[in-house]
Order: sequence, then structure tokens, then C-alpha cells
Amino acid sequence: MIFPSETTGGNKRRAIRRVGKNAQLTQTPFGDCISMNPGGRWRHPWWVTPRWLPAQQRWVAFIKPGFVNGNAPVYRTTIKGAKSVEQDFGINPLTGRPFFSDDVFSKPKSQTYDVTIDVPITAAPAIALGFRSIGFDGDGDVPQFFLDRGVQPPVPLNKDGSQNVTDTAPKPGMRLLRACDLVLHQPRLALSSSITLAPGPATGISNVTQTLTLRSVDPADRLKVFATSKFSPLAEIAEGFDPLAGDYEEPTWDEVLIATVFLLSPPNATPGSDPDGTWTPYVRHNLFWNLHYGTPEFRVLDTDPGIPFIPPLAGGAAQIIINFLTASLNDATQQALNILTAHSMSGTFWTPTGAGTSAVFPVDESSEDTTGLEKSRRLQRRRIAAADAMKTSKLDPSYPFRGQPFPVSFLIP
Amino acid sequence: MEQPVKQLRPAVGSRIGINQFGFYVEGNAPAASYPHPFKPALQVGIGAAVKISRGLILSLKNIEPKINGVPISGDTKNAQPALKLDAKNLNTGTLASWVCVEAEPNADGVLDEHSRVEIVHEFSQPLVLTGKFGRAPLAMILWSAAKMPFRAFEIAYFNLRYVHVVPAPGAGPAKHFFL
Repeated sequence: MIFPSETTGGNKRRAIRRVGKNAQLTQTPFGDCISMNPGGRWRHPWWVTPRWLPAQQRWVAFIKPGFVNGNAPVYRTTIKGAKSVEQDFGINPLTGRPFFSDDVFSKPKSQTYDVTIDVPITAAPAIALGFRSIGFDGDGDVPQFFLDRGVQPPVPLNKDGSQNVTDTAPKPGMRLLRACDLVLHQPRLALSSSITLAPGPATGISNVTQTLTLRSVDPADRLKVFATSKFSPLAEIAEGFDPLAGDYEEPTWDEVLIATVFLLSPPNATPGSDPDGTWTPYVRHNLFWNLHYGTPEFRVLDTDPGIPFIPPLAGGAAQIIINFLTASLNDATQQALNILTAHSMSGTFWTPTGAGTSAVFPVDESSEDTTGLEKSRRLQRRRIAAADAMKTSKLDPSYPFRGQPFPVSFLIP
Repeated sequence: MEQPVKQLRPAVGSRIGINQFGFYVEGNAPAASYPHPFKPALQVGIGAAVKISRGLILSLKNIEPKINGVPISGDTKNAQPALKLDAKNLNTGTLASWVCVEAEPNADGVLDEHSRVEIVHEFSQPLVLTGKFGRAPLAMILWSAAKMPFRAFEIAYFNLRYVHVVPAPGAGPAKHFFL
């Protein structure tokens, strides 16, 4: 950074002082003061940096590369391609050049089309964000962090479900909140279950045959990241699902939340307004370290696969028998659910912390015991209490953040 | 009242110099750095290589992996070794390779001072959980189209605990986990 002197080469020039990179200029009555910014903070993997792009008038996010089994995910996006729509009129035999290729003819127009490309996150792609509304003009729970900054919770509904009109007026200084989730997507094999009911050897008895198969991954699917306004974790098996009533298919992927990007409006923003560059971004991370990923091995049932269980079905028999049969059917449903759960190919992400099967990071022994009369211990206890109190004022936990636990079921031979 | 003379003054972390073009200010902005186990240091150019800072594979014994028979942080007779990065098997589609640690347990399924625990350069499979030995990625190396490495991404941030799972009879291959 150069500050021109007051005189250069004998000519009087006006001094223009500009601030360069990593520098701060402070004007004081005694002169201007320059200080250098300290080095940036170390950022953990999966660190998300939201940014407003004025030219595109939209918010995007950049992710510091994180890895799953050593592989970097990609970001799948669509870009505009262009191809000419030139027609082939043949070669002019007099000139030896294509017909209509002279400059006096207008050139063929190009046609644009969409191309889907995969950009590895090591190349720092800008991930387009789409937001959901939270709080006064939306729904969902507002984190305490934002309630402390002027966001109002959603307007409560009356007992009959109608809007409470007395509370619909925003308070002065109210701020709005938007959120967007960034998700890590990992393809995997998936379990499928089909049920067939067939007449059994005895009257009123049916054989229930459950067939388990594996579905392969869509070849076009890849380890990737994407943004969604609202991420819903995959439920293991839907509540109330009856495996005897129909077939069951797992999804061929696992997903985990990377982070949630929040945008906080300036005070007194109009409810329902779209976020722009005046809004303040905040990020709540869920992943902090690189991950390993594994899926369980698919094992064939030990029992006869043709007859895993034989619940009798009701066939118009006497009341006492129907009761018995109903209980058996419930057993069959539970058995089918158990088999689905036991053979699920749902995978697990874990953080290699060095602490074994626990996701807890190895701790400094000196900080473990905070009781007793020793002064250093009491001071340490006070520091821990202060750190706990600070947690409510932050969206992310302190270093060493948080790890994904290792599934101990993988250690069972 | 007389106005004070305005001067340019250096403050925290800055220095001021002067030459024929005017004043200049310089400072040392410390880099954002996080020293941790298995941190890679890439040497680019001809004879590209990577050095790995000290890290341990935790098992029955805590083993420091080796490069060409020398512990990755060096020893009393050898300086810190560097792993040569050769592009002969580089996948020109991905232009990426990995620096990995391979651990081969003894008959008891643990690592001891005689076990093979070494740093290798891989081009396709950074993680191997089944087979005779286990492999875990420590760093990803990005290559230019001219087959020159230009960036190393750190993958492992902690010492790794090695666990060997011996399968039940007929239950598939042995497994190696890095936790």
C-alpha cells in the first residue's frame, strides 16, 4: 500500500490515502493511523460463507471443502450453453467455400440450452440459496439467538385454528428471519421388501412371505451438496407403516445437514419481503470435521427365506379364534418391521476423532477435575461455567466443536 | 488555536517506509494456521513431494507411520522424510490423488512396533476397510492439467485409532476401521 507524499518531483500533489488489503486506516486528531488486520481465523471443514451477489441479486454460499471417505462432494448446477444453428448448404464450387459464408450474409444465430455440470467443492462453487420464512411472517421455532436480536415468534393461532388478529401487528423494530439448509447427499444401496400372501396348507391359514432385495444406486447420482429451503431428515421407517399392507423401498441415499444459513433483516422490514444485500447472514453449522461413511453388510436370513413366519389370517371362524388370529397378525407385522430394521442399508457418517468409538474428543486431563479447594481448579470451573453461558449467545459450539458418533454395531463380527 | 500536524503513524503490526513514490506501509499478517496431526506440506515444482507432520495411529502401541522406513517426523538419524509425488497413474479426469496411511495388523489384529504402518500415494481408492490391510486418507492432492501438483487439502485432523474387526466364520472379510 502506497501513500503518495505531499510533494513528488517538485510538484505539489494531493495526498490520497487508500486502504489496501488487510489494513485499516483510522483518522485521529494527531494524524492517520494504520493498523494491519490480524490473520484470519482458521475455518473448519464444511465452513459456510454466505455472500450477496449484487449483479445476480441473490444470496449464494461457499463451502470450505469437506471430505467423505477422502472424496470431495460436487455441487450440481445448470449453466447456459450455446451452439450455433448453422445449416449446411454445401460448398460453392466457384469459390470452394461454403455457401452464404461471406461476410455480407448475416451469421447464423446461436441457440442456448441448459447444461448440467458437477463442480467439485474444491473449486469453490457458488451455491444458490433459496429461503424459507421463520418467525413473524413464517413458521417454525425461532432460535433464542435470533429472539435476542429482535425477531418475533410466529403469531399464535386461536384455539379454533384461526388467526389471532390482535397480535398480527409487528412490534416496532421487529426483524424478519429467513433460513436455508445446506445438505450433504451420499448415494448407497437400498433395501426393498415385498410381501406376498398365499393360502397355507390349512383352512384359514395364510403364508406371509417377505422377500428382501437390494436396489442399486442411480448411476447419475454422486456424493454432492445441495441447498434446500427446508431439509427433512429421512425417517428410518414411516410411523404407522404396515409392512404387510404393501411393498417397502428405502431411498438409495443418505443425507446429513451441513449447515443452516440464516438471514436477519434490518429493523422494521416489511413482512413477507425478500432478502437482499441489507440483510445480515448468520450460519449455524452441523458438520465440523471430515467424515468417514459406511453401510452395514447385507446378510441373508438364517431362517427359511420362503417361510420366515406364518401368521394365520381370519377366515370367518369363531370369535375366540379371530382374537387369537388378530394377535398373530400383529406379531407378523412387528416381525416384518423388525426384519426391515435389522436389514436396513442405511449408512452412518462418523468423525475420526482418535477417541475410539466415542465422538468425544480426547480432553486435556488437567481440565477434567474442576472440584476441590485448589485455586486453579476453581478458576477452571469458573471458565467452564462462563463458556457454557456463552453457548447461548452463539450458534455454533466452541472448539473442538462436535463430532458424528461411530456406530458400534459395525464392530460386531 | 493551532492545529496539530497530521502525521502518518505506524500502529499494531505495521511498518512505514518512504521512497521516491511516497510512503508505503507493510505488515506481517499471520496466516490462518492450525497445527494438527498429519498436516500436509506440499512441495511443488520439479521433484514434487509432500511432508506430513507428526501423527499417530493408536492401537496396542501408538505407531508413527513411516515414509521409506523413516518416521514421518524424522528421527535422530534422519531428517523429516518427504513422499515423492509421481503422476504416472494420475486419473486425468479427476486430476486428484491422495496421501494415505496403510496399516497392516499382526496376527492378533493389533498394531505393534513390527506392523507395517506407512504413508502411500494413491490414485483411486483413498479408503480401504476390508482386506489384508486398512487404508485411510490423510490429504488430497490436486493436480494441474500439466500433471503438476498445486494444492493439498488436509483430511485427517486428529490421531487415528485403528480397530480391526475379525469376522465370524463365513461372515465376510476382516474389517479395518479408523475411528
